[in-house]
Amino acid sequence: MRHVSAELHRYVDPHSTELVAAIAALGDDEFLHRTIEANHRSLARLTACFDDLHIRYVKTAANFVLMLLPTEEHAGRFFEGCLDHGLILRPVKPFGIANGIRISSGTDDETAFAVKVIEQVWTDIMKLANASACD
Amino acid sequence: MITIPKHALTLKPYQAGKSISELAREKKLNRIVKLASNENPLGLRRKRRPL
Repeated sequence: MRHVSAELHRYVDPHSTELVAAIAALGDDEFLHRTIEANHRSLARLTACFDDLHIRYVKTAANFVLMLLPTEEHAGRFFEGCLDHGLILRPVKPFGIANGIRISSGTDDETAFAVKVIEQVWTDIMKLANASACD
Repeated sequence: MITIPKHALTLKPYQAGKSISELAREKKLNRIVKLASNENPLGLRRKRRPL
């Protein structure tokens, strides 16, 4: 029995309950529109920040945006740097994109916090790169 | 005894992202924001229908 349950997590997607709740929420127009607006506002703020910092990203129609950093090493350092400042992002290496970091839309307050952290961490990474290029 | 087909053995289990409680244990931080899970930032809708 233990053998079977240990194997099962390979095949079962852990998100099935959320899907039922998500479908029910789609029937609530007011909630749906508030959600869409909040999502657009957050993603517009985040992508404006990426444009300012010259960070590449994939154009999105979802509730997240995929950042494409120059290398896997940049992505690792960026992810860890954000953690040091209290911002949890999602590396997508397990999904096959080693230089990719995914960020989901947040509330206005969360987005403002994320922008501040991203600017700080990315500026630090670039400074370090320029310093070693001058050595 | 259940036998597992060979092609299924190559599948990798879902790897969850880092959790707030995990990060809070690892580092002293004033604030933690998680934008890693594709959840609705507005939370649950207030209206709920019985299932």
